[in-house]
Amino acid sequence: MADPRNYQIAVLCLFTVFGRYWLGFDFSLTTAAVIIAVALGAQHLLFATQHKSALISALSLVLLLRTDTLALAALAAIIAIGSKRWVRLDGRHIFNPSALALVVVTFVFNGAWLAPGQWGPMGLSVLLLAGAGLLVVTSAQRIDIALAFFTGFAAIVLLRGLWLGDPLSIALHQLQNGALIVFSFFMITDPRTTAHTAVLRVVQGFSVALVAAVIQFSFYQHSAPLYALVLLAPLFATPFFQKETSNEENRIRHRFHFYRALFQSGTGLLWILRRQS
Amino acid sequence: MRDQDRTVITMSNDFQGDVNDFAMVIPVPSILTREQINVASQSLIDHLDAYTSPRLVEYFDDDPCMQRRLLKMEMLESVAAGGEAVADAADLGVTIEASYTVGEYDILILSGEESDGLVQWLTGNGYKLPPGASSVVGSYLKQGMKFFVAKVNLAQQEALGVNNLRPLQVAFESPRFMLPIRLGTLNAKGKQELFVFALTRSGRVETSNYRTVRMPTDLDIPVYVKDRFDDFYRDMFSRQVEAHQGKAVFLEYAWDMAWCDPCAADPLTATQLRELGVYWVDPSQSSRSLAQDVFATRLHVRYDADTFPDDLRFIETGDRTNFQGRYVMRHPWRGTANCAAADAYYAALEQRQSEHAASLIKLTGWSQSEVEALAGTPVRIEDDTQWWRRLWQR
Repeated sequence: MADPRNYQIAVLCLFTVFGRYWLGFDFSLTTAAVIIAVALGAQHLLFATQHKSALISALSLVLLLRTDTLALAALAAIIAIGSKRWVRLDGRHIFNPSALALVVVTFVFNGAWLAPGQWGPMGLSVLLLAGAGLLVVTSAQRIDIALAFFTGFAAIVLLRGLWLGDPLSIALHQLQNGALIVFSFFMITDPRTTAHTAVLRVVQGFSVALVAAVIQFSFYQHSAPLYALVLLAPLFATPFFQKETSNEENRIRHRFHFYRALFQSGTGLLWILRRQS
Repeated sequence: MRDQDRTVITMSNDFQGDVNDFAMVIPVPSILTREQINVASQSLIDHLDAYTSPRLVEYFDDDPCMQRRLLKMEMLESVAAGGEAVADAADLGVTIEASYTVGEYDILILSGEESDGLVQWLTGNGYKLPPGASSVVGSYLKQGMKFFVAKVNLAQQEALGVNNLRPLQVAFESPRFMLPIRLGTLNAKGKQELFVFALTRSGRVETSNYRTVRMPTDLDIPVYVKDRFDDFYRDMFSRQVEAHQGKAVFLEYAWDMAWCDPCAADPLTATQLRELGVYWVDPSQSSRSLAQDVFATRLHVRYDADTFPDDLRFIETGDRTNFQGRYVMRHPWRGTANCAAADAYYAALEQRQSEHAASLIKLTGWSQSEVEALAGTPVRIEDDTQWWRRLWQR
């Protein structure tokens, strides 16, 4: 089968063009050019291979990051690619490159932000988007995590609506968001940071959905899935999620990694909590 | 005003009718103390409205043979901001957390165990709640919100000698940057009109759960629209709402308060901004009285429960790009002009006028005969479907 990344690049390009020219996404062509050039340049310098994956990260940034400052756009691209080189555990990178870059840059700088409202309520087009997304993940063989996350998140949103006594239209409105679809099918599915078995990937998808719902509904943050993914990433990078445990020694080592990651995620969550209160 | 979690909301209402019938029921994130509530002067909102209004700019064509130019502006008067004007009260699991008289208003802060009790209490106390209010009230209660209920105290109103209902202000801290609009959609007949003026520090405000779209701007419109500029803008707005299936929020103004060029009205002074909740400006320090570090955003929403099912949620972006609705009217040269350049000028003028008339029809949906009546002359609209007619001289 052809390289699934080709599909991903094609679909992301389509979204970028559609977003900019039909939905009026607020990014300049210069910003887009800077992000893509810096990401590809960094990839070339640091790895000299895998330029397609760098392009995917860059296109995700173009689609989701909003800034009027070119330096911040470049910084985001450097964080995305650099994190693959410098933030590693057991020889694998920990964070989804573009998710980490988006969270860090928008959290630290006032001059960069996310625009979850930019997609508008999409209705039918969301389904089309999802369909296109499905095509991509089917080829990337990570459909399980995408579906686990999306159905998990949708279930929480629907149940919450039911509990609040809200009309269904509100829950549907909250789910018909292009950013949520892009996240489900293009970010969380990154094969480098997903678990090695289908069961674990489903666990991973559900936990991201749960944490995202808590961040969105208890801490009133938009773009909650991104934060959830980055917060939980250290946990998912542990050997428990990444490799089969073979012997006792390994198991102890893995447990250590697991608890360390849990600690890191917890600290991250506390940081957000403190910032909120 | 919004900065980090600090929020000051100033609610101005275009309530028409007997003040006895006026009541306001608004979900608030916490129990407010007397110090957190204030009554502001309507002139503040009017000034902010004027400052951020879409502008009509008039240019006068130069004498094609000479150099001269004039510039004049006019403002659009817009409808006052419409908040929710709902009414109600009852009892059963309802706690009156606080009760204040502020200015001409009697204010209660209510919390409740369940919506039915609260709705009954409100109804029993003479507040008229629209049908369906119970489930919406219940939803807000479950989300941990309290209710801020205001009625006009007629004796106080008389004693203060105020005729109109002045805007109410509340100040609180909350991570929720949102406007609860759901109660309002139950109550209103048809669509509601809402203007949101946001004063922030880092940049433009946009909605995070709806699309924010810029109004078409920098458009040339024919001179005969001058006396009907309000109609023009209103109809153009309606067309825009339709074009986005009624589901978009419109950006009408985004500007750094420290300056404007040219201004539709003077920027607000530091004192005025402080009144509106901008706590970081100090009127005693800024001698030039122009506030630094205040970014004004004006959003315009036309909504009902179908198109805007959920409350409006906002984010403050880092975008400091200035934006304003600006509509340009170019008056032709009316003097005598006898030179070679004049012929070219009049030829271009005719072409320009027909283009502007066509764009007027497109923007507002006005009919050609309507536009002709306004222009007082037949309007020649370029029919671009027969573009070949303009190719060769006949």
